[in-house]
Amino acid sequence: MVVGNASSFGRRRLPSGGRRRSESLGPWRFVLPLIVFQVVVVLGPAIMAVYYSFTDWDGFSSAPFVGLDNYRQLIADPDFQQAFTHNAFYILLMPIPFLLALTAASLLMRVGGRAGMVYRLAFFIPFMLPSVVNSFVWKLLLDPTQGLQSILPAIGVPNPGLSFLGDTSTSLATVWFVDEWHFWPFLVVVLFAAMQSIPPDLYEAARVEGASWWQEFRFVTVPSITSTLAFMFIIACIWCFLVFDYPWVLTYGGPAGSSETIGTLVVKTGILAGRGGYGAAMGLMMTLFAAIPVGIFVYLRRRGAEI
Amino acid sequence: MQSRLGNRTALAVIAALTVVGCSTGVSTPHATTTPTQAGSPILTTPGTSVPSASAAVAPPSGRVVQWGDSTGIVNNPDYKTGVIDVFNATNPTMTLEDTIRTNMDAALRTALAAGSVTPDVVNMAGPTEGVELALAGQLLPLDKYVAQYGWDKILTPWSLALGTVNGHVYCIPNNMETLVVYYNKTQFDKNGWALPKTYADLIAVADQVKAAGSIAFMQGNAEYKLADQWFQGEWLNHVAGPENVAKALKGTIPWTDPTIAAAVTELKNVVNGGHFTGGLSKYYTTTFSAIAAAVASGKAAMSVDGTWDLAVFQDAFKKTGQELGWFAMPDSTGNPVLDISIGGCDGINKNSTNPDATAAWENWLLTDAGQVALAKAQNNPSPLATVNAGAMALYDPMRADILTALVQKTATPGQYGYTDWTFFSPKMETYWENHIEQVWAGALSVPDYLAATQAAYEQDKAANALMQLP
Repeated sequence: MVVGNASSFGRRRLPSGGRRRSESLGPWRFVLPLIVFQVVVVLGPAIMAVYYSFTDWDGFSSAPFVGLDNYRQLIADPDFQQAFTHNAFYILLMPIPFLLALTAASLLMRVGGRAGMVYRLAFFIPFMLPSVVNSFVWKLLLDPTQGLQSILPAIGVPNPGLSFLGDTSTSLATVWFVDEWHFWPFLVVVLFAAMQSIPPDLYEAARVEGASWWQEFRFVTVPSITSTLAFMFIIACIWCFLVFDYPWVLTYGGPAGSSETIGTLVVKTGILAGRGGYGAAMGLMMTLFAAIPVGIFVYLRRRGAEI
Repeated sequence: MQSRLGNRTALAVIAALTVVGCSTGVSTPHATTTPTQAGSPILTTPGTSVPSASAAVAPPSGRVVQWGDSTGIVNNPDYKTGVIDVFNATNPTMTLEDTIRTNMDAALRTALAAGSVTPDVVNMAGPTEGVELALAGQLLPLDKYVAQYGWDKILTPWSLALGTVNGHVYCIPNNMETLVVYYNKTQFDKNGWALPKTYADLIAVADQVKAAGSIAFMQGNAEYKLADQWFQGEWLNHVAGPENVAKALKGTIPWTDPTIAAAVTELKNVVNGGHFTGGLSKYYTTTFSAIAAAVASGKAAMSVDGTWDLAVFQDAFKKTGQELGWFAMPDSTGNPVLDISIGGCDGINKNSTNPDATAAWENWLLTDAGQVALAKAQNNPSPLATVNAGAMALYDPMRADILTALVQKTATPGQYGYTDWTFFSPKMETYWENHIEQVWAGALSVPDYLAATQAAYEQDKAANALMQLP
């Protein structure tokens, strides 16, 4: 069957210049509404935020230009420094949910059928619930008088009356725990999906070679999902700097600022206290911190890292 | 102790005297009534000699838009039927549209910043916010309406002063409340605890309660972090004394003054000494319903709280069958001081297309009809120079007792205290509220806290943002 030849192709009329332009503009026409939307909703406010960060704007009236004053003040602001260390605390503990998720995902790989589906669903439920709902549930569970501790006397154990969210020494760790309790199932599902894409041949070959479960995990599973792991780690690092909802609902950043994050501080300062300019500077610093992991990611990829 | 019977009796006697005065021809036209020079409130019955808002001018017409917070009084069904509907029915030339907004404050600020013509009524959380918005140029000066309706005569001088910025009135305070000490009378009687006559007595009683294995003050801020400011204000006014607080607010003494420092230190000692909820960490996780339940059951003896939570306590005490009592916290000299709380302040949007009708609505709220309607809906009264006894009688008896005592106190400086959300300037209030927990936690020293408070005060002063005190 003749499907064509050089001459037949040659007889085709090439598209005119106008048509070529039209075709090249085609995709842009589809994307244009989104671009306009992004400019209005994201780029415009972002540019305005940069501008306001150099002003003493109160959120309503004129915005007198103050140069770098807001940034100078930020560097010396003990509240901001404290909040930054709390965000850094989130990053420092980041390996914990990753290790848990890796373990859980690899175990889920071994559970097939309906049971596997039930497990996966159970793991994912915390991530599907709104953060406000999760927070209120945990607030109740952790309440020293009405929560889990109040049940202990029924089994003969005195109620220790520990106030995890009300103690300055435990509030941040408790907020982090609840936040990660919500987040790590998402990691499980993502890593599980990545593991499912690993060719079974690799595992079969490893087993033929007499590899143990741990060796399969170490030499087959982990190397095969490195890019997913790296990507999720970057995303998680960014989220660590954008933490807001859990500390806001659970503790309002307290007590005494002990669970304050930059996100909660931005809202308190920029919106509630009417210091729009200073809040904008704080928000931009938060964005800058969040961009650092992205920069590292891009840098490593350009250097040839397979992530 | 503020005797419930005593106040009720006083209320009835004063109301009766007013009626007698009226019947003997001591009647005053609404528009020209002048209250006592000191702004002393007089209790009167409606429709008698009430120096009330004027109705002499031609009624404006048109539509007035008001926004209310979904969690606030405006969302109360009684407010809709008892206040809004009554106004619309009795003012046929005007239509008040009442819209509920979630996160109303943010929506309001966004609308104002965008130059929106609605809402016409700028419904604010208190005078401090009024100053902030007035300085931002978002509010219409109300001087014309003050003169037209005689608001300077209808409202107490101190309350109108709160709405004044740079010599112009920008907002009309409303929703007057106070803080008291609610206590379990059954437990007090049973244990022989005497009601305190001085602040030292109060702490002595707290020690006795603690020694008996109960919690002295059941408090918490789990649901509302700014509840901290209730106690800041109570201890400030009752340990430093209202005179010193007034001096600090006027700038006569600095906020680093030893009297102020003593008050902040005393509160720090009380909250850390186990008198608050049995420990500071529990304070941060205790809810209002748990507070009321603990006091009603006798697990705790007292709770410093506002009139806004009275119904919560009453419901809890109904369940336990024990008796609820209240008293004004005494100061160190034995004066039972009540702190003034103004929980709301209404201004007019500078871009409003119908300011005259908006002002008419505000004026109606200050009339007999408005005050009675508010009372029927169990909303708090406005800080009027002459309080409507008929409206007062419509409140729950205990609320009426407390409000009556407050009204009597507000006549004389030195008898009332100053809540920070009512009398503190914006930057100072923000700092004061946001850093007290660091003081309690020992992360910030009292001198440093007060030095920063003074610095914030100076900033507000430079911006002409200080609250005006009479």
